[in-house]
Amino acid sequence: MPDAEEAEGSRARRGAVVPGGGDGGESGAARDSRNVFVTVGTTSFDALIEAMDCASVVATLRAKGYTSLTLQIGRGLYLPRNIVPPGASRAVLRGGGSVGEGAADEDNDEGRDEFVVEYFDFKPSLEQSMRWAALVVSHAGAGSVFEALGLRRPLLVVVNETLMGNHQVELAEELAGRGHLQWCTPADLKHALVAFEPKGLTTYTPGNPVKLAAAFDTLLG
Amino acid sequence: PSPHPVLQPPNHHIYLLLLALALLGANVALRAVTVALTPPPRRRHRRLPQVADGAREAEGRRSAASHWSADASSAPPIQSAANTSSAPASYWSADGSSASPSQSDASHHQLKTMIVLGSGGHTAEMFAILHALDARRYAPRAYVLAATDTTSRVKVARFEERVDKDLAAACKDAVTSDAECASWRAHTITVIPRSREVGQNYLYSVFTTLYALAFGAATALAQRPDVVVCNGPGTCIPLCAAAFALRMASPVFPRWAGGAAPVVIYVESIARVASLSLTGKLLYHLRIADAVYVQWEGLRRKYPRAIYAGRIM
Repeated sequence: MPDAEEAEGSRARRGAVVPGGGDGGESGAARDSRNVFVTVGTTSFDALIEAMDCASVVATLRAKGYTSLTLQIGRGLYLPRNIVPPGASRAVLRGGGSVGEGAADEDNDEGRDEFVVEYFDFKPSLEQSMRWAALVVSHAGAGSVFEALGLRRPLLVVVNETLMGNHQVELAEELAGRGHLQWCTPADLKHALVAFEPKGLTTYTPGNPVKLAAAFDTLLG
Repeated sequence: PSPHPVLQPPNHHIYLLLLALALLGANVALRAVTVALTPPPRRRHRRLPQVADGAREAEGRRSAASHWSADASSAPPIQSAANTSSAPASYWSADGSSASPSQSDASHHQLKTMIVLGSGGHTAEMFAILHALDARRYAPRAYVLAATDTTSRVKVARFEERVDKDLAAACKDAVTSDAECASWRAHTITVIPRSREVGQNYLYSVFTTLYALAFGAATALAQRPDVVVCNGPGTCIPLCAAAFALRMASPVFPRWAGGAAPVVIYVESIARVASLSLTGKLLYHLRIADAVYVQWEGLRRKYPRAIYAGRIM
């Protein structure tokens, strides 16, 4: 797809080292670019996308040393329009944060100040997107959460308060209590991003269904 | 003008509460009938030849390894009515341990497994569990899907392909017969209607639920599984209830039930940390499930009879 190729190209052309050094996350994150990947899985979570669609949030991410932001909007109806030109699904923000369309090009000696924003709705597998991310901002669905934890990505979970009987917040609280992620609500998103510290998190050790299978065998004789 | 208080459509939970009460009533009634009709303990050692024949036919439908060898002095399996007196006793045990109702099954004996699949997350977890099970023991597999679920079909196909591949080596083994190998790979897919669509009218929901109940019951009775595995979707309630009823009725109506005594296993989703889902609560409190597994230790405080066997992801 053209956009993916452009993104590849722009990352390759951007030679300078990102201020703040390395990728901060565990192995697997991309070379010198630090991507923030926002995912809502197969749900619709407009509140999160709206909260991310904010110039001050992008400024916060740039200040923290991230170089790109990817939003996976799922079934959501809200399309970002403040951090990308309306109607575009991708934008490259330069220097002072002015919004420009299309791939990095002509006057690009200052790759350091570039910040790429893009969004899409679905991909067959988000694993690659997550692997490239230095920070994953996810809805509180168990599938997305455990996928990110399994890939050992620093994870910020945003809980969707419009859901009925919200048991997702319980999962977020439990895992946060164990130090594997941090969580917030869409209203607190900016504050949570400012305060987010990946070094304070502990790696989640994935479980194994083998024990459960053994329990079945014992139960059934 | 505010909506009329009486004519407001009740929410999902009231409708399900009525369903729960109906199931509870059926549960109590069946238990009472079972106790009333159970022969007294002194009959335990007497074998009833006509019943044993019926059970033998049912056994014959399963895999090669058979209890019903030519040796007539072997003890009858628990599923036959000759052991009627001991079967209800195990279900009545007040402690948390699930008294295994299948002492008859040798460890290598095949278990026909009914697997209830729901939407996305549920299916993903279910296949994670199935991958860990021995495909030779938990076979043939009968998958049950909701009518509106298209992605699960694809996942079933992919899983069974992988099972085929994994068993290819064992199948080529000179010791394994073709019939045995075929039985390891055998699987069916049944589609059942959904109990209720989102936002459906309350009165109409009663009928669609009854229809789904009947359909689920018919499926469970037709398939006669040894094990029913479910991990959340509401579609499993009719199936689990029917399997449970089959097991309760089996000692009382042995000829009809054909010696079937399905074990109902419920695995709560990893997403449920502080409380069981509605399906889980129904199966737990109504004691329809033989075993309710939870993936977070904290749930055992709230549901003492639940079993913690680690997380699956």
